[in-house]
Amino acid sequence: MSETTASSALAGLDPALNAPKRLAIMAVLASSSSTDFGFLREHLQVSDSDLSKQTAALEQAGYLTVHKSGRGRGGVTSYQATKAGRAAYKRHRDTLRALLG
Amino acid sequence: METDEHRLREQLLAADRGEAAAWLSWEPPVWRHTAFFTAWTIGFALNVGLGGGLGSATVNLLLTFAALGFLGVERARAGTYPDGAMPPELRRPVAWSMALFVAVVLTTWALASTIPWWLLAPLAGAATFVAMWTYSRTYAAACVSVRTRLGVAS
Repeated sequence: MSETTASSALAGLDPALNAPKRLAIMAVLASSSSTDFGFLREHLQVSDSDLSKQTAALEQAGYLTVHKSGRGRGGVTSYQATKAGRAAYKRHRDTLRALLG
Repeated sequence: METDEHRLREQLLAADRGEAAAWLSWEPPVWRHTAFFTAWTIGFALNVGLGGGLGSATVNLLLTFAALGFLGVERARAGTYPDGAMPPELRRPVAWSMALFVAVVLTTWALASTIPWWLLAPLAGAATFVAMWTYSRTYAAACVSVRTRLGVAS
């Protein structure tokens, strides 16, 4: 791949998804209708606070929405990828594939 | 440069693992899914066998709600519900299971007017049991292949 081609391909990488944990979160959400906090925590092997921080950043970017049901210990927090989030994730992943051949 | 490539490969692997995660979490425990869908088909066979034609609309509605309720409980148990592109290894077992289930339901409905309900129900139940059992085993084997390819611990 030439330098010019590589740099134009790199432009397809989304800065918000360059962090591996955020990319992994969006990968899970892009392949599910909705996913609970506990599932993401287990998949990523991260702490509650770390996951909250990563999802907050993605929510701020408009890539996911948060739904809370119930209260207290029985409450469940779940996440859904937005249309923009799915598109951004797909673009980022396709760029990775193109770059790596 | 090599570090950049390594970083990008790590990202792609994280993406592939993430995309497969919801599908892998739906690996069916053989007994639960098999038992539910066997009971569901027996209920359907009794409805069309005893009710004639399409059977009672109320019972069909109840069966639909039961199936949706079961999927809802399973979604809560798994913490996710897979949607979108599935890992290639899972395509065949999922397609076969859908085709088999539809075939069993349609055959049950077609036979309802020719054989008695007391024969129809166990036959439909047995066919579903075999189909679901086979599907569960095939899906589980495909999940092992996906985990091996992606280097994911079970």
